[in-house]
Order: sequence, then structure tokens, then C-alpha cells
Amino acid sequence: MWINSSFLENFERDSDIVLTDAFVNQHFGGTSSINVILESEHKDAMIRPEVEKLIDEMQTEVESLELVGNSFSISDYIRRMNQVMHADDPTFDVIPESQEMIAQYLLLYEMSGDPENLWKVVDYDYRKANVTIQLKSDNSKDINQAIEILEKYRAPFSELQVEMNYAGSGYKALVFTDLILTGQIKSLLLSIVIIIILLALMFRKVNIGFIGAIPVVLTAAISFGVMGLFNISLSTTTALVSSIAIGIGIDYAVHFIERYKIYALQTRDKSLTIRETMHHSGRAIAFNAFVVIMGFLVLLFSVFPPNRSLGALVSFNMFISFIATVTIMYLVLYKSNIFFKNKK
Amino acid sequence: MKTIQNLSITVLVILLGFTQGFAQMNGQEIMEAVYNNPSGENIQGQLEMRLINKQGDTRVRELQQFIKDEGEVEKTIMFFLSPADVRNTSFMNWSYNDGRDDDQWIYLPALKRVKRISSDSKSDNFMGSDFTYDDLGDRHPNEDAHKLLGEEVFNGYDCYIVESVPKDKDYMYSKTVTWVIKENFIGIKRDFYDEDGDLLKILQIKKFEKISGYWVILNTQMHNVQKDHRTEMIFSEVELDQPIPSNKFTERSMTLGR
Repeated sequence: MWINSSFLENFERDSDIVLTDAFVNQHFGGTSSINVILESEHKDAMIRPEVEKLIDEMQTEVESLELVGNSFSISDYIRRMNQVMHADDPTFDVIPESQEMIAQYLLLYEMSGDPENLWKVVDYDYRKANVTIQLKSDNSKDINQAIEILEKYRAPFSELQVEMNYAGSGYKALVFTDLILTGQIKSLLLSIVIIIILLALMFRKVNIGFIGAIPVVLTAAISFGVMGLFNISLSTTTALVSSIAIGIGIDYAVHFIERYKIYALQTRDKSLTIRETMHHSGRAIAFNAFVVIMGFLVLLFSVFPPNRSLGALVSFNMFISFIATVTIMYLVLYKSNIFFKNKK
Repeated sequence: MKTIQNLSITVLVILLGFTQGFAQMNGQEIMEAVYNNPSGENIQGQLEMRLINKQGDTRVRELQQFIKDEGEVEKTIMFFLSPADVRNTSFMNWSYNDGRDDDQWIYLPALKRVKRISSDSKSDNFMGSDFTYDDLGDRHPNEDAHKLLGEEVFNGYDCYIVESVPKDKDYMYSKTVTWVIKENFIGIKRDFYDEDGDLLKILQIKKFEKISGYWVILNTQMHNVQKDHRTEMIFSEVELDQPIPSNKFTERSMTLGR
């Protein structure tokens, strides 16, 4: 089971947007980015050679990843200027040892170039720096790979009293992913708990709460299992699936249990109750499931791939929910002797 | 870099030929009067340059500067006093009267080397400030068509307001409007309009004083209203007409510090 908030993977592999993106990624630095924002309380922190060197090291390491196309920061300016000022000798393509040198290069840059460029990578009093890392993929797994490398530099930077934060389109996607995952798990657990409590209150029996939750829990478990099995990632679209499934699944359970209770009180006969319930409620549920599944299957004809997976998954979940209600929950209900206790 | 002269140590002298009682002047005459204010031949002093961005962050640089007018060429040399990490960095500019591009050099003490830098454009900003090299220099009045827009009391001074439209349509400004003090022909305020005719920058003279018989501008501010970026230049310890030896303006002198 994995999460992916890639925007592009929402599209067909041969769609224009995917092909264009692939072209740009192949020939240029990359279409999505992570920005590492370095920040210190001290003025001129970003032009200290130790900090510059660490930035440089971090860029070199992260650029070794295949998915990283390019990276760009203040240290690129410094290295380039150092080389140019030494007759383009490549041995000077390094960060100089003294802060004076760095400050003087930057002054020279300001005097002869357009200082506006500089303010894209560093702030006015050299307290903050912005390292741009261009990625050739907006896939969450890939971005995490880059973040993993960047994280190794958090401690060394903090030793130099420099704090590290992230921004950028790629990182935004990653945050999004985390929100989906935690949000998904939280809302799932919460809704199950609420279902149990509500059912228990409605039927004034704690056991019913747990029995009624059976189809929902089973549906969620099987649904996530299948997604894992077929390598379908959890995304903004597919994340909706389990919520929809719970919403409709609980419907069946309530319907079924309510019928069962009515017949149980009427007939006081367990096997008659079970037969009648299955006859009325079971059939209604089957029709309902059939219609809803067909409704969602229409989405299979969508040109937008996420809608197709949504359709397939919801239909599948409906089916599981229906089966779980009329088989497992049904059997548990039967075995539990609920509503017949006093009669025994 | 006529400018530094104008700007930094611009010296404006009241022209004897023009008096208050003189008949109404037209725009051309007013701007000529401003331009024709003779300046001292040798100027030296300290310059504090404050760069202030939109967020209010301020960067301060202090320089010692020397300017010598040798007729054909005006030579300027500046030594950085602060910030500490650029101390003794020096900058030299030779500005030619015949319209050739300026020659510029910079000395980086950490590198121990003098480098020539190219000044390709008069519209480049001077040291990352809001002043272009051209803003700092004396623009000849014949390059623009001038029109007297009216008169106004500005900051307590009786001023002419003159609009100047460049004859060269490709110039970086579409027009400038200058407030000129009537009694001494100091331009105290100037609005610069960009190529689209929108207000781009406002130049204001905050302080001027008579030193050695010349009017000297001691504090001037340029505000780029589009970027909301400001540059303030504050001059102090200004000395005029004190002899400066010619060998002050050499690559060797750059490496020696002030």
C-alpha cells in the first residue's frame, strides 16, 4: 500500500501532458522542485565558507540521484565566480576558504551584474538561502528519496546554527500525501468508532455495534488489501473510495439488523426470523447493491484514469460490503442469539 | 561617471547671469542653468550608501571617494570602508567626455588582484543601488525637449517644474519631471517615468549645503516606487578643490587602500 500524489500520473501515459512533461524532464532540469530554505539568526551566515561548503556538498549528493536534474543555490554563484576570477581554471571551481573572498565576489557581482538574480537565492543580509532542487518526477516515492538525502544535512546545518525547511512544488505534493495518509487513517478509525457507538445506541445493545461494523471493517480491509495487491496508490481520488464504501456499507448493515430485530420480536422464532429477513432485506440490499455498482461502473468509461479507478474500486467495495452483510454479519447475528436471549 | 560628481558631490553654483528679477525663463533655459552650474575640480569625501528593500531590510556601505576632473576624462576612485568583509575593496571609473564607454576596474583584496569590469550600459544600476550610471551623471539639456509646467512651493522652496522628454525615443525613461529651486538652480526633486509612461522612480535631495562657495548635495534619496526599493546616499567630510595627485587614480593606487 503506498500513497502517491503525483499530479501527472493521473493522466494516460500517452496523453499530451505526460509526453510533454517527459520531454522537458529529459532535456531540461526537471519539472517539479524542492526548495531547501536555510535560515539563521545571524547576519552573513550564508556567506560563511563552512555553510557554503555544506550547501555545495548537499547539492552534489542529491544531484547524484537519477531523478534530480539540477540544483541551484548561492554556492553555484560563488564557485563559478571563483573559477572565472582565476582565469577559468577548473581547480578553482570550489568554495573559497575565506568569508572576505565570498563577500567580495558578491559585491563584484552586484556591481557588474543584475543583483536581482542574487535575491532569488539569498536574502538581503545573507541570513537566508534558497537551494532549488529540480526533479524529473513528481512521484511521491521519488521525492521522498531526495528528502531522505537532504535530511542527512539537517544535523550538520544545525551545528552551524542554520535551520532547514522545505518548500517547492514537489514538497507541496509530499505534504499533501502525508495529509491524505494521516487524514485517511484517522477518519477511517473515527468513522468505525462512531458507527459502533451509534449502532449500539440505536439498538440499545453494545454487541450490535460490533456486529454492525463487521461489513465496514471487512470492506476497508479488503479494499486496501486489493489496492496494495494491484499496486494502486492512495491518492486524492482513490482516498475517497473507503469513505464512500463505509457510507453505503453501513446502510446495508442497519437495514438488515433493523429488519432482523422486527422479525425477531414478531415471530420469536430464530430460523423464521432469519429466513424472513433474508427474504425481504436481503433482496432489497441485493438490488440496491446491483444498482449502485452499475452506477459507479459507468465511470469505467471516463477518459480521466483516476475516475476509472474510483469507479472500479467503489463498485468492488460495494460488492464486498454486500457480501459481508449477507454472509458473515448474517451468520454472526444468527450465532449471537441477540434479540432472543430472554426467550431462552 | 559624471554623476558621482552630480550626485555625490555634485556641486551646483548659482549662476551669476541669472537673477530672480530676470524675465520668465523657459524650460530649456532652466535646465541649462542647472546643467551649467560649475563643479569643483577635485572632490573628496565619505559616502554612506544605504540600500533599503521592500521589507525594510537595510544594507549599509561606507566608502571613501576621490573625484578629479582632468578635462577630457573624469576619474573617480572609491574605497570601501565597511562592511568589514569588503573593506579595502576599491572601485575606479574613468568617464570620457567624447562619449566613449567608461573604463572601470575593481580591486578585491581577498584575491589581491585588480580586475577590469565592463560597463556596457548607462542604464545599469550603480553598485546595486536604485541609481543608474546615467542618473548620477550630468545629462546634457540638449538631449531632451523641455517644457515649463508651472511653479510650486516644494519643501519650502519656490520651484519651477520642468518636464523633459528625451529626443531619443529608445531612452530608458519616457520622461522626467524636475522641481528646480528658483534661487539657486538646484534640482531638488525628479520623477522618472518608465517606457510605458508609468512613474518609476522619485529622486529627492534631502540636504544640501554651501561648502567652499559651492552648493553641495549631502543627502539624496532615490525611491523605485515599482519595486519599492530605496537608495539613500549620505555625503560627509566633503572637501572641494583640494589637490588630488593624478597617481591616485591608478591600478596600483587601488591596491594600496585609501
